[in-house]
Amino acid sequence: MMSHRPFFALTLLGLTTAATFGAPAAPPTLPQDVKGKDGVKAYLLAVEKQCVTATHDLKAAADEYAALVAAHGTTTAAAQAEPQKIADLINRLRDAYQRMDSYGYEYIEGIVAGVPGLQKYDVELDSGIPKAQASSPQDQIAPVVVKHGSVTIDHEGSLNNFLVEPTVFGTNDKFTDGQAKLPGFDQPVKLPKVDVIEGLADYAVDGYARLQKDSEAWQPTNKDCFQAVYNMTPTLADYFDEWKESKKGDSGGRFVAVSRVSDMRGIMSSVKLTWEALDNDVKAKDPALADSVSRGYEQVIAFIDKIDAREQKHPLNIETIDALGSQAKEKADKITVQTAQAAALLGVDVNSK
Amino acid sequence: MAIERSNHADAILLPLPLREGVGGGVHKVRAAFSPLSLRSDSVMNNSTMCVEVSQIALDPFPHPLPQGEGEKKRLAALLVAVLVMLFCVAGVRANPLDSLHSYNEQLDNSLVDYYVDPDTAAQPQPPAELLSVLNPQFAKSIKETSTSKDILPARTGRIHGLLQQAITLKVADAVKAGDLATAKAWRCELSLPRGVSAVEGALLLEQLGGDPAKREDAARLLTREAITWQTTLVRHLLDDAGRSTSGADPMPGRLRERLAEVTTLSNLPQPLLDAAGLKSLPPVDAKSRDDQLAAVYAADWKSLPAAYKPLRKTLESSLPSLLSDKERERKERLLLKLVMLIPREYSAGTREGKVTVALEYREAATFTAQARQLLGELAPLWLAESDAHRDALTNLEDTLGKADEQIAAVAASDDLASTLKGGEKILTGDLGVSLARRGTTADIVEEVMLETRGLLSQSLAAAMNGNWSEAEQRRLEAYTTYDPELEARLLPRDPQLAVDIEHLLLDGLDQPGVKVLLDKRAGGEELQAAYGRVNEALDRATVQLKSDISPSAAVINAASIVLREGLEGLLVIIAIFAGLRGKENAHKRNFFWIGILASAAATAVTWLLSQTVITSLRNYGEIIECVTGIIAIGVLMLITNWLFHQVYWKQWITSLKSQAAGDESTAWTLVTVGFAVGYREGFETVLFLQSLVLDAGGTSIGLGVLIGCLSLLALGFAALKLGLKLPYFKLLMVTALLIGLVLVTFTGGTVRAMQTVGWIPVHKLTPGSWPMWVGNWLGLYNTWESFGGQVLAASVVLGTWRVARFQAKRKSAKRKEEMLAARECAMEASNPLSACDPDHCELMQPDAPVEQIVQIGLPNRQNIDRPIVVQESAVPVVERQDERYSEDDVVTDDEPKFDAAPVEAGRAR
Repeated sequence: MMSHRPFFALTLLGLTTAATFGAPAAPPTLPQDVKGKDGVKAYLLAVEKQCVTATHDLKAAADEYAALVAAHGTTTAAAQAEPQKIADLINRLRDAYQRMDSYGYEYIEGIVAGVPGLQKYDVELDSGIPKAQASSPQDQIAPVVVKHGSVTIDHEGSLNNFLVEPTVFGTNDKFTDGQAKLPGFDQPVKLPKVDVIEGLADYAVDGYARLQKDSEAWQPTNKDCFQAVYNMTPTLADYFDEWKESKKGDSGGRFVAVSRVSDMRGIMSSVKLTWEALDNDVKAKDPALADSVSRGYEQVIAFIDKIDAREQKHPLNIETIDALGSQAKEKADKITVQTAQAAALLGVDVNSK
Repeated sequence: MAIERSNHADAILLPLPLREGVGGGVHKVRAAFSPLSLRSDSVMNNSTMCVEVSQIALDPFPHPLPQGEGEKKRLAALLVAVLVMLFCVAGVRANPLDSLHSYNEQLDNSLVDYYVDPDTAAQPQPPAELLSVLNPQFAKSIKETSTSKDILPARTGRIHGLLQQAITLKVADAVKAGDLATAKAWRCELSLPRGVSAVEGALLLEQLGGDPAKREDAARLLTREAITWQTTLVRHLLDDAGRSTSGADPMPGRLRERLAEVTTLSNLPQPLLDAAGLKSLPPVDAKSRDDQLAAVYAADWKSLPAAYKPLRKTLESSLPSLLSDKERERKERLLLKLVMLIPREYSAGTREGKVTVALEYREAATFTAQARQLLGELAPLWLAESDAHRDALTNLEDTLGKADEQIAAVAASDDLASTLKGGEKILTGDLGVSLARRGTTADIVEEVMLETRGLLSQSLAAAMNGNWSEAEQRRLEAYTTYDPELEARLLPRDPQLAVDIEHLLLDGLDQPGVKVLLDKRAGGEELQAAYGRVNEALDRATVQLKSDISPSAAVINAASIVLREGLEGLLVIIAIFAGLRGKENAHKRNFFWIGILASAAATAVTWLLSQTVITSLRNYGEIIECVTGIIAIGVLMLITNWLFHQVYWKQWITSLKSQAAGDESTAWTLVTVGFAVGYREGFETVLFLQSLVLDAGGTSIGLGVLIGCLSLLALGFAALKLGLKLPYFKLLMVTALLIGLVLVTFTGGTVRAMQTVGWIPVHKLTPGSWPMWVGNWLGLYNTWESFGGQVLAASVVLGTWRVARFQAKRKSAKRKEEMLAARECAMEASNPLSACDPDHCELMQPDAPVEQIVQIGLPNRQNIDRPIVVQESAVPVVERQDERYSEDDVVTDDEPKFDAAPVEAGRAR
């Protein structure tokens, strides 16, 4: 469980070391003792640093890929001529993406998406949908516009989920150019379009740098933290719905890199960490409530681990998925109502912007 | 520790830890593991300690065994026994909440195991330590369910429902016992479906649960809150079940699980009904329900939707409703008001997709949440009513859900308005909800609170737009909406909160109040924060107002209102009576009594009218208070002036004729004074009691009024009696001082009232707030205007006193001069050698009035031999040796200081 990890300083050291030596993608280490709102900010910045490093790695791999393709004329020609190099570059692109998103951004999404001053980055990088899919004014359209060479990507969804992931994993034909059999891959790999991956890599470098800059300027308050936990906890139920759909294979090319369960774990971990920054203040007013919320988050994380373990063991039938989804939703709904109660106790209004 | 000797010298002692409190008491045990016994004292002292554990009666080895092997076996058996005992002890001491958590987790796991593979799942058994703390009826049901023959999902669903109901009772019991910590801990174990709010209940627990007189109320309200949550949960479960029956993938286990929980939660056992304060619920057609359930369970998956529909309708109709017809009507009206108010708040708080006034935006979101909560409360009734109501409920839920999303996304205010317009049409068109208020106003707390908050929001919006006069007008409207209905009800429940709200609307407490900031033309965050503080206090007031007021509290409050208001008037009455002492003033006293009695009659008439015709006068209570207050201040100033001049003027030396001549004007003055003093207090009393009687009933209030009046009469009688025993001067001085104090207090209160209605601005005198009692009893409020008014009033009082003294001194000096002159004249007149011409001395003229002659102590020349008649009641002239004049020299009836006749000859007395 995430809670049994080393101390915060070691966390930072671990992240830095991993980033420096390009360790394989793995979830970040959550600090055992958050030490208040400043601790939340420190964690946020530490993970963002990893993300920024990953974007640079993505860019480096994209540049090398572009050079190789340019040397051979087309992507398929390059893959035929130098399959191992192309395979390595594809792996590097995917690894960089996972460090940037699945094991990076997803572990701070709870904070970024919940804090009013940083929310816009969540729409841009993760949760925003394509303009074509928006059906009501309330839908959050990702404001991503990428131009590189002959390619223009205009409001076609968030950077991580709608653009980079389908490109590096070849699940959206619009962003790929041919396919090839590559060593180390069981199935033929759809090769990324050069202009697309180059443009997206540039955008990723810029986007995460902006997020990092605004995060450094962020002064966390009780309200920010409550807003984060209050806004993000109900998303567990929403994610479970998406997880259910993904099990049916109707994910539109998304959610294939890592099981969506991993994303849920990341989000809930960062939300739980944010709650821990508030726990002491709430405990001073209502110890039973503070304990109940803390226990609720622990149960949610454990529950996600449990689902993951079960999923790994054997495929889950629809009734089991439905039951698990309901249990998760019940836990998340309860925490949501309780965090609003806790916020009211501390005089924080979670309904304000 | 008692040491017992053993018959066996080779017995073994075990170093076991002390266990106390096991099973409610410590039980000493004789170790029955034969041949275990205690060793001699010498061994005991060195190494071991005796253990006290649960009494056991084990005797596994009744006969002694050979030494070596026997010892080992004894040791093993003892260890086993000790371990068993330790586990038992640990079990008994386990926290029931921990057991509950563990049990819930086991239930969830077993469900999932069942769905993965029914053959591998096992039903977890409820822990004994949990069952032992639950209501016996629920504990029994849970235990029986866990061993019933039904499939595991159905058993688990039912157990979930039973646990929710059992926990609800635990919360209620803990609140009634005053154990708030336990109540909070159990309340955290209740399921909280999406869309409900736990904030109000938490506030209620804090505010009411800590007051022994309100625990029953708090327990009842919290139970109802939990039942409302469970009703919401039932509806969610029915929605989920409906969706799953329409899906392609069969989920029979999930269906049975949900329906079992639904049927359990829909049925309220008697302990829960009692805790919720419900007599009974409408009977449920159990047979139809069971038949429909059986049909659903027997149906194949494809035909399930058809079988499920009637079952859903039956189950929804059987949901417990906590609302009476009157409450239902009120909540529907409130829902309509909210739906109409939300777009106005939102529009005032946003512009072009951005939040411009956070408080307004927040109010829009809060009101939307309140509307959804109301829907949850109304749902059971609507679902049972008709298909139209059922459809309306669904549509309204969709509407409010959409409104929620639009607010969260800061959508255009026109979009939100359009969405909620649809909701308004559903309520007024499909359901026929009307805003017209019918019936009594006894249950209007939420509506009035909503109106108040709406007006405050409008006030803030106006201020943010720079429309200061409109902002002040709306603020005043908000106060006059709140004050007559809610403040009067809040005062007996939480007087400090009632006073605080008034402060927050005016001068503020630790930070500036709304009016202070409006007068300063402050804006932005500071102004919003001030309105926010008022809203927060109104939230707390709402919680307080949900509790009933006990009859004894109503009696006490009514009596204290009558006493408080009456005491002020009593002081004035005593003062006036003190000045009208003596038989010669009996008729004046009668005129005053006429005024008092007339005011009492007018008060009674006002009371009767207040119950029928002039209910709207409540809205003008503050203005009337201002007007009557100004009149009272004027009257008090007159009385004060008159009192001081009574002390220093010698008005008693008048002829009966002049007295009679003055009687007509004096009479009307006294009647007016009596009426003004009496009616002012009477009107305020009517205002306060009017709302209280709607809240607590006529009997309690009537009794309180009677007690208050009798107390006032007793106090008045005692005060008058005591006052009559005092020396006249002392009584006058005391009453003058008291009247002065009353005048200063009145002034403070009247200025406050004028500030409340906006006639006078508000500027804080000192940072922070002043204690409530200084305002209530001394009229001291933390504003320049009220304090300055009081200083002015005190200056007038002191000035009157100084003027009276000065005038008396001047008059005394003049009189002295005249006396001396007259004496010299008289001496000269009797002296043939005197140069004084008596014929030209006007004092010596034959027609010089007797009174004048007497006043100056001169004989009438013409009647020099005629005795000089000195009136018995005259205040003798004081002859002073020096010019200084002090109160000591004021002559009282029984302390004449000077012989009135300087001419001794022929003076008659």
